Amino acid sequence: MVISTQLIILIVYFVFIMFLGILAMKKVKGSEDLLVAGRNLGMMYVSVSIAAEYMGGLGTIGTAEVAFNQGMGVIWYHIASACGLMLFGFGFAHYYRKYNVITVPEYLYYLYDIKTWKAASVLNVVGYWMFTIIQMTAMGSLVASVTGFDLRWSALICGIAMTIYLLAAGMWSVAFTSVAFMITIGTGIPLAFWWVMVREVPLVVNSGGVAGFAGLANALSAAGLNAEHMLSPFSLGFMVILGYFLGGVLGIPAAQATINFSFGARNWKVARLAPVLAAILILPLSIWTGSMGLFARAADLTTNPKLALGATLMNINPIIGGIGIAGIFAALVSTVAGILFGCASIMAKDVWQRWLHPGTDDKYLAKWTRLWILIIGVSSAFGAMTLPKILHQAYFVYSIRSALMICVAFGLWWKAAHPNAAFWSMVVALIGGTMYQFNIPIDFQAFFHLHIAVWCGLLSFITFIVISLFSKWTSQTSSELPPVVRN
Amino acid sequence: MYTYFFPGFLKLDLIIWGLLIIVFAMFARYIHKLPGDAIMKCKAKAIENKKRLGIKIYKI
Repeated sequence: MVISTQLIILIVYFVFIMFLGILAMKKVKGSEDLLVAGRNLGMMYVSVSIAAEYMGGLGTIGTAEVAFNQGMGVIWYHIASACGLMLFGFGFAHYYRKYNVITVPEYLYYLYDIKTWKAASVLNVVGYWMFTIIQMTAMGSLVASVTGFDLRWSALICGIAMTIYLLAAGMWSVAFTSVAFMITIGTGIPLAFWWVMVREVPLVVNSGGVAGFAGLANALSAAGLNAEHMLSPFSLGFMVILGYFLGGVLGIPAAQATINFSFGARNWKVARLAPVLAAILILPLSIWTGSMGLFARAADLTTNPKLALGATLMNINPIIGGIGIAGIFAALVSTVAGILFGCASIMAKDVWQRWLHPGTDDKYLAKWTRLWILIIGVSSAFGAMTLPKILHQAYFVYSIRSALMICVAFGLWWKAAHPNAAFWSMVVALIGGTMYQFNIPIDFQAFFHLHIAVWCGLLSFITFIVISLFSKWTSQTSSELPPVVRN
Repeated sequence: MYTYFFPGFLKLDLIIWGLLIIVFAMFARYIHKLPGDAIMKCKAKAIENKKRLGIKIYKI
């Protein structure tokens, strides 16, 4: 293991975060405190927690990777995400809030019926369990690049450390520490970006000794790349931008991990406004990370795009690089925590308590939420040791999320939206997405030339419309009672 | 070389950022003007269908 300045800064920062998590323990008195922070989160906590959750492995390491390969068109990733968050604040948050829901599947029961709630619970748990594995893998990659440790062991250690951190105090610990995360992200990453553009770019051979994007353009041109194209906002092409928009707009309004914090808001006004503020907070991230990814390419720091951001931060001033790495680490921790927590919330509240063990009390739920954090966290940490392809698996989860959003949106605004349509659109999205992902029985991408998010979105959209048009609401519709009837 | 001091992606992102800030300010003003019970007017179509047909919605 290489003991670098960057590693020492990272360790000090991690100990500080653990300390904050333990401080938050004192606030937890029951399951509502654990799951939705007692519905007492103010504007700052909710918006910062949503933003910090969204700035994960894909938003940092992933955007630097894309910029390294294809240029600064990657800014659309966060523009699309900001649109999704604004859509949630404008059109969805108050509907969820009116029924004081804790999970998205729970709201789908209020809209439709019991079978839709069960299907949505299973879909969410499967999707987020996979997403937890993916994010733990990304976290392991960063730690491995800083420490020189084996990637598999780094992923395992990070996963188990994250599980212990979340077990401390549930959502309070995530919300409490997210302010520290946001400060670290908001200072560490732009500080490293500024240092790279002002101090490092002029040192690159063929930059002409010029700082900023002009020097970067010189170095890119000298490396045989089209600088104008790489610095264009349209360098990725229309289809990729469309994919980002589908992922953001169709994904976020029903993404448990992201909108969980809105459920914990003090009142419905905060629940609506905070996601819009979070959209402002996340927007500039890809400028900083993308530029540093492009610098790694121009300065020839690595040949592996996945290591672009880590390589840049390990090759600049160690203090600045260490602060930048702490910023990336903060982004990863906040996302892993949010996703692991979202998955455990649905598993404990919807599947375990309401579905399988109805009638049990608050104390039971708090105990089982912690146990499910432990089970999902530890199993995901071992799953991360298999080193799944990060983006490949992530888009599968995004595609599943789009089916949930379609069900919620139709239920809110279309009079004919029918419970059978909601149930089958989720089933079709899950089966269709799995077939696409594993090429059963054909290579769908080669045959249809559609992105998996577009494929799943279309399948669930068409299924929903067709079944709704051929189904009628009667007094027998959604007649199945919940496992325990409460008035 | 001069044009790269302020490249196209940066201009676009800053313009969108500015727009978002304006939208947030307007939305915040709109939300704060709404009465506290305005949330009761949010009626999901599917839930209204249930109410119209007399289907009871239980708390789960």
